Formats: sequence, C-alpha cells, structure tokens
Amino acid sequence: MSDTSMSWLQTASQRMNWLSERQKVISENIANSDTPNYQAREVESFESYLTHKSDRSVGIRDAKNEWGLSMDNNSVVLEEQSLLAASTSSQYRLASKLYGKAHAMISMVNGK
Amino acid sequence: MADLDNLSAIARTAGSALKAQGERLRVISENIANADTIGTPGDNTYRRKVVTFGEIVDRETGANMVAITSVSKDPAPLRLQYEPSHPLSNEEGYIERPNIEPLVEMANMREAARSYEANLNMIATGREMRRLTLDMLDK
Repeated sequence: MSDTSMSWLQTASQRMNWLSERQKVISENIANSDTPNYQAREVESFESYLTHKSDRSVGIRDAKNEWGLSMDNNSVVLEEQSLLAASTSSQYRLASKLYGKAHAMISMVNGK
Repeated sequence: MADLDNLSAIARTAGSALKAQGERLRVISENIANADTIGTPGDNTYRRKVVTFGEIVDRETGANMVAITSVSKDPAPLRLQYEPSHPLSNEEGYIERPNIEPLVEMANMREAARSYEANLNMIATGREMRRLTLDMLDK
C-alpha cells in the first residue's frame, strides 16, 4: 500500500529523525564553543540520509570551516550555530505538523 | 525512539555547558575579587586563574558534552611595585601585585555570559521540539 499519506508519514518521520540528530549536533557545537581545538560538526544532507535507508543512523562529519578559526583553534561560530538551531527548530515544527495532517487524513478515511 | 533520545541529549549537552560556563564565571569573579590582593615578593601572591574546557562523551546518550578539564594558574609575571612603606614590602622595598587585568577579566566575563545564554536558548529550543513530538500523541 504505497498510499500518498502513508509515504507522507514515512518521509515526515525520517525528516524529524534527521532534524533531531542535526539539532543534537548543533547543541554539541554550541556547548563546545569555548573548547580549545574543537572542530564544528554537521550532519550529512537530508538527501544523502534518504539514500541509505537501511541504515537508520545519520552520518556526522566535520563542518567546512568558512568563518575562520578563533585563537584557540576552535571553529565554532556561535552566531552561525544559533541561526542553524532556529531553522532546524522551525523545520521540525513543519515536519511534525505534516505528520499530524497525514494522520488526520487517514483518520478521516477511517471515519473517525 | 531516536528522536526523543536526541532531544534529551540536547538538554544534557546544553546543561553540561551551563555548568562549565557557570564555573568559569565563578573563577572570573575570584580573579576580579583578588585583583588587589597584594603580597610580599616570592611569597605566594595570588595569580590569575584560567579555566580550560574539554570535550567529554556522555556514556548514556553518546553526546559530546563539555566539562572543565583544568583550572590552572596564569604563568604571566606578577607585577612588582616599589612601595617601601608598605608592611608587606621586602628588603628592597617592593610589593607584588597579581597578574590580573580587570579589562581582560571583564571581556572574559562577557564571553562566558554570552555562551551561557546561547546554551539556555538551546535548552528552550530542545524543549519546544520535544513538545511538538509529544503533541503528535494528542491527535
């Protein structure tokens, strides 16, 4: 049954899983923003996460360092990470609302 | 569920950072409080304390948390001041002042407060995400 709302449920749930992993990595970066020699990390893109579906874990790698290093060799930029955290949070809201909608559609079909 | 694991890891990670930054603020306040603690040269005058952060892995959630790995003393030279009438002065008439620059401590304090705030926001964001997840149960 590859029903549209069923695939919605799956995509939304994968999206939420990916976003929560991403937010975890961001929180680690923010927590370690004053740790000497710490390299900021990021998760793989959502597309590449979807391509290896069998493995549920999200890949984590060192982030590309575009904003420069601080004097203690730390590559976390607090402002950048705060922006990422805010955008991740609102995308999570979107995915969870989407999941709710898909669920409501199924309930409607069931006559509830 | 992996989602909720990650979301509770956020709170733990940010919480560990709050603790570390709080401790850092405490050390800064010690430095500022002792900025005028003078002593006799060679007699253990107060030296500026410096905290160093390090990454630790939380066994429960696998999250990379932060902790204070060491509180060391700043090896920068103490400042000698010629004041022969001071009761703590040595035979040559010098007293020793701590190697503390109040402006550096202030800047350090602002940075710690800023990081503290960023981590507080992270806890609020994590809580909001958890609420969204739990709200899905209502439908």
